[in-house]
Amino acid sequence: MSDSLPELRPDDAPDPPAPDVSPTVSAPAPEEPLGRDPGIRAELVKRAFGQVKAVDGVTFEAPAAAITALIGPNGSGKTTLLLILAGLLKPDSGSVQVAGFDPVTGNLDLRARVGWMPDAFGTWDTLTPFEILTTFARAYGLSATQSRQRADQLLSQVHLTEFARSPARVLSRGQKQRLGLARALVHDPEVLLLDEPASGLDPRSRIELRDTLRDLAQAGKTVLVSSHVLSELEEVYDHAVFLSHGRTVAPPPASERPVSARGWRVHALDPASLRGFLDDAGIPWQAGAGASGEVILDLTGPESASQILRAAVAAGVPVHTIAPLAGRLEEAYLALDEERK
Amino acid sequence: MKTWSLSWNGLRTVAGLELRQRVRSKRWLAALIVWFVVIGGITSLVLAAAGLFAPQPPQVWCQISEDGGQDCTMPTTELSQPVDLVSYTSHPVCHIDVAGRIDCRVESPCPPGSGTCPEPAPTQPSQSCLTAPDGSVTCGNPTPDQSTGLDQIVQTVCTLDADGQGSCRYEALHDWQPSTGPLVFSLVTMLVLGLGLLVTPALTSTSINGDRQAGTLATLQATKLSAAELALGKLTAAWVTMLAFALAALPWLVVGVVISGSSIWQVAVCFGVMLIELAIVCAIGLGWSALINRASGSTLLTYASVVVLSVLSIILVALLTILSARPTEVRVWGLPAHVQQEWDRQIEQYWQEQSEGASGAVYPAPPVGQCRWQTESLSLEHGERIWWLAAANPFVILADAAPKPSVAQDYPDLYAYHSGDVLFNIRHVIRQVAAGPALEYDRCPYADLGVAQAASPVKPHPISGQGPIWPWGLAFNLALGVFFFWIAVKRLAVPYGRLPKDTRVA
Repeated sequence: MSDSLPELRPDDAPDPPAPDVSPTVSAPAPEEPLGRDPGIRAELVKRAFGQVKAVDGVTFEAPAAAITALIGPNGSGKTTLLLILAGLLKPDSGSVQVAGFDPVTGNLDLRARVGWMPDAFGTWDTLTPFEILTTFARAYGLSATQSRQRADQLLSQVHLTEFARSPARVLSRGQKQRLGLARALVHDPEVLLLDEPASGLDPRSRIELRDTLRDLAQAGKTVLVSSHVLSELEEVYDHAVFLSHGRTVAPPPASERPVSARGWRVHALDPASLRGFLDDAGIPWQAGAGASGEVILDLTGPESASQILRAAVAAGVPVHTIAPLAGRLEEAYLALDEERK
Repeated sequence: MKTWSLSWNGLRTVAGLELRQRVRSKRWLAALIVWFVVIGGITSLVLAAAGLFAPQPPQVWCQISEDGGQDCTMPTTELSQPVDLVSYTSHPVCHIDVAGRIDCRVESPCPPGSGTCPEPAPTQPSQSCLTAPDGSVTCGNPTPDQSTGLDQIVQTVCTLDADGQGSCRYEALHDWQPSTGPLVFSLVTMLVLGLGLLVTPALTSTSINGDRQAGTLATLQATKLSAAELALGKLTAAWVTMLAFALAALPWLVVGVVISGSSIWQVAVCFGVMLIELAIVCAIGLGWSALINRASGSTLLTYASVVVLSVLSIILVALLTILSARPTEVRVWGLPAHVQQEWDRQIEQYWQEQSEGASGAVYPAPPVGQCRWQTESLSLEHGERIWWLAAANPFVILADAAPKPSVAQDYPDLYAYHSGDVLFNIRHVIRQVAAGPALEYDRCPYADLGVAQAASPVKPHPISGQGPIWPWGLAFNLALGVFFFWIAVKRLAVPYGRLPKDTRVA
């Protein structure tokens, strides 16, 4: 599994503050009925490679017309799970339905409806992006004319039209990644499985990827995205599935977590007056990272943050930022990491 | 299962993809050019060398005879070498008298000093005399002797032209004799097959594990393409590449055909068998590349497979043939010991009398009437037990399947000996091995009489009468190819159940 962003590796992360907000707050609870048939339904899916239990009991549903985030640390079984969902790997046990088909009994039907973008994939270096896309379109059974049209359309969608007729070896990593996305979309799949789609993308491409995924979800597709780059998923996902040690886990509810050590980042135009205010109010603080002068507070939750903000503004402290240290996904992710220990 | 479903579209997509990648890389063009030049160069060398060994037509001497006619003696040529137990060669002599009658006889060389040669068996003279429109008469005189057979390849032809001038000459029964064509054609065919066997493993032996390594395999497996389409597409692309190589060699094969007068049929069969064999090697490489994760490993094993099939099998058969020698009971048609002793004594006496200057001594005639069957134990090699080890050899299959020229049909031993036709020689040797040793031998001293061996009860040992070997070899190789192809398809089929060790799906 590639890890392009070492700063997000759980091992390198500072001791995480335990979140007191459940990350599933905005996601529907599993028992809540979904609007339409789920594009992906997995129940107690297991898959081992010899002694290694890569996927060891995964149960989740990814609804259609929504983006589902697949979150878990390295080695939690994300890639293996996606291989099972893409119809490339037989589950040892459990039941899987993707676009209504079982990966074993309905493998071909499943593959015809699933677009899969692996985390590490190669391109045929001597072929042009246009040829690569038409080849895949043909492999999915499109006619020659349809294939050419589809290739042109996708190349403009991922902004590779100018490279359409150059060999793929001249493409940068990010461009190849975009080509890989176009490749996964070539047969207009009902279900889209993306493994680390944002790695190697520049910020602009990430935003475009987000928009593309949003459009696809709106068009009724089931989108399942696994990513380490949590900030990318933060703004786009509708549901989240957490994997740890090959199992889907519900992050521990807020009530079970220690209420302390909840980090909030506070910054003011005049750092000195902020610190003075905090000292006066008897609120413990630590200096934040860097020389910017921001401070970190341990708060029990958004209510206390709101209270502090109100008090500070009332005291005339020019506060311009107060935010939790981590996003909700990151928080949940780190909670998983903690559970792992 | 959908693993084995095949569609034209899927096949074309995979094969097109593979071929397009191959065409893009300049290496293959360079390889093709080198290939053409190498084969052309070797063909030219063979042509030049073969020209030096072109046999000279045998000469005929005629002289005016006492009655005003001509006596023409056909000398024994260098072609007349003993290949059988009987080392006797005949000198056909034709006499053309003034009236234009032609009478040809085979005269045996008489023992030195003997006044009374045994009467040579008259051949059927003038049986096949033809009168040409210009009034000349041509009489063919093939020697009927089938087992010594060294003069059979040429025919004594005496011609009496309209002016009454007669002349005799040798005429080859078949026009292959002075031609170097079979040598050139067979060498070039073998060369193309050999080089093809060298090039082919490079085309498929990293086809699957290489793609897996490059991360391009899984994305294709995830499409609607079936495993069979992937495997067959790769196989087809590799085979089409080999076809291009084979076609590049075709001009040089045609050179051999043109100068040899080989039939187009022979070229077509050789070409067809070659392409089948190369396709089988493609399949073997494909299978190894599916089985072995490391590209170097699968390449090595593919080359090893080719070496086992085409080199090791021959070495093995050669060694085992030597080891297969066993004391074997054979029946020998010859003189009983006491008769032989008596005859030897008579000969000794004759020479003694000769040296003493006695006249009127008669060389003792061999007592052929007393030849009997006797049993002997000889140490003989039993190739019939191990020949099948070489049957799967691509070279053997090609050589055995190649249609033989008509002359080889009639005179296999002579053709094998004199023509330099590598294909036929391989076929001849392997069938000889497969036929096993002869179990009956003729040691009756007919030769000294110059009589035909028609009287011998020993049947000629059927060498080329043995059935063809190539169907066995080709069937085995095809089974091998199908097996490896099956492995490749099995290893490409998704969803994967048990994954081989150290294999990643993507």
